[in-house]
Amino acid sequence: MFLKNAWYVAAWDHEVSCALTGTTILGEEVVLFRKTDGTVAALENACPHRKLPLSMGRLKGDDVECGYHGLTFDCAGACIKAPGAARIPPAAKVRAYPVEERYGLVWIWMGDAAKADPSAIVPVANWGDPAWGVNRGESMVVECNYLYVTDNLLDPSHVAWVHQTSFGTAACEDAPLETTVEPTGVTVARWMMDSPPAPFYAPFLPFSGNCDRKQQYEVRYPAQAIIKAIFVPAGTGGEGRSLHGDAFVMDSYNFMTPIDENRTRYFWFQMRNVAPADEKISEQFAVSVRDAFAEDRVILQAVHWGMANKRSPNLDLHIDKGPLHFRRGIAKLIAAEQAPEVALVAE
Amino acid sequence: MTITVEFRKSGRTVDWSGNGSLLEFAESNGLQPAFSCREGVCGTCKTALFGGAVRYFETPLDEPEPGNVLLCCSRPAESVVLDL
Ligand code: FES
Ligand code: FES
Ligand SMILES: [Fe+2]
Repeated sequence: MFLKNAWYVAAWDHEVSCALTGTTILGEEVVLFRKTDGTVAALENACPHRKLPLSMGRLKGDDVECGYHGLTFDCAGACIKAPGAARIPPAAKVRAYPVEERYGLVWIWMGDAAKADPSAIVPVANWGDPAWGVNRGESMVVECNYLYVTDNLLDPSHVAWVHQTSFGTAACEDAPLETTVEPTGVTVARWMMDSPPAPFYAPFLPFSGNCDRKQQYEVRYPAQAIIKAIFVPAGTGGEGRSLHGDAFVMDSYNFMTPIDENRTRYFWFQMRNVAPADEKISEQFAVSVRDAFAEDRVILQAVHWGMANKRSPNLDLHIDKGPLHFRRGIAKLIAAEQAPEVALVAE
Repeated sequence: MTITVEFRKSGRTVDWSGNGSLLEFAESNGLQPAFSCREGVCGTCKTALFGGAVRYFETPLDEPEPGNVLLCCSRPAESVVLDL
């Protein structure tokens, strides 16, 4: 089950052109295309006649013509042409989804269109600030339920085991975690003091020697993670202290869009406060991040399979505190959304 | 006023002297209650409370049903009787 009244990333902006592009989001078939004014439209990807995917039809200006018998829909989903019929049947329409473009991503609202508020799209700090560089990301499909991805993104401890050659160091193994549960989501954070920098970050740090490192993993409902990595010279870090002038900061944005219960499309990019205009560094980061996420992917797919096919009970550990609170929070939001009358009475 | 912890199954009553959890206190008294997460999320340490009341220093993911406590994230608010 999914939270419908929420923005999800449907695609990268460059993935949507004037070609009709079919995709699946929260188990719903959607067709995306760019209108003549350059903005993106999203329609239910099924003709109401025989449910042929509209993505198999043709784009005529801003209208979509079904590839079977020519029923034609405008970008609001209204049927504007029913070839050969005396009148357009009132039931001939498809659903239109609200769409917004932001941060190079196409966002789609999967719930009640009247509730779609673009200001609810997750804010990206320092976006457009020339002092910050962007590691333009990409996307991948992970064959697992999206909550295994949110589990993973609220679990800094996995870094020591899954990403030994990139993000991890021995210090990641047992520094204690601080979990904060809020109405918007869950945050798990910790400082790891005076340790060698992780291999992934070491070449980019503007200082040498050991570092104090903060990992802050926040996941907001429905499935948007903001992962902050901070490195400062050893002895200058710690909660509540202002950041050292040589601090390296990387904010990683991770947006999960459930394809269905068993598959997740995962989008990401990072903001960094060093070498903002250096394309080569952006590219280096992009490659390293992709490799690291491929490591997660292998694990998460196997975990999904293992949990779906378990022959003995699994157990929960202390490191599951953040992930389990997140699961509880999203389940409550979904339940409230599916039974709005009940929620109203309870208020 | 001293707070006591009665481990009823074991037939022992001990003065509460811990500053950690009831779970740690029981362990330091030689008992071995079941546990997994020790963070109030898995429910494994759930134990029947026959008397008294506890205070949670960590909000459990799920409040146990009345008459039960999670040992790993609570300590006695007054003298307690536990099914241990
Ligand atoms: S230690 Fe977590 S799956 Fe084995
Ligand atoms: S051991 Fe998991 S709730 Fe106490
Ligand atoms: Fe990972």
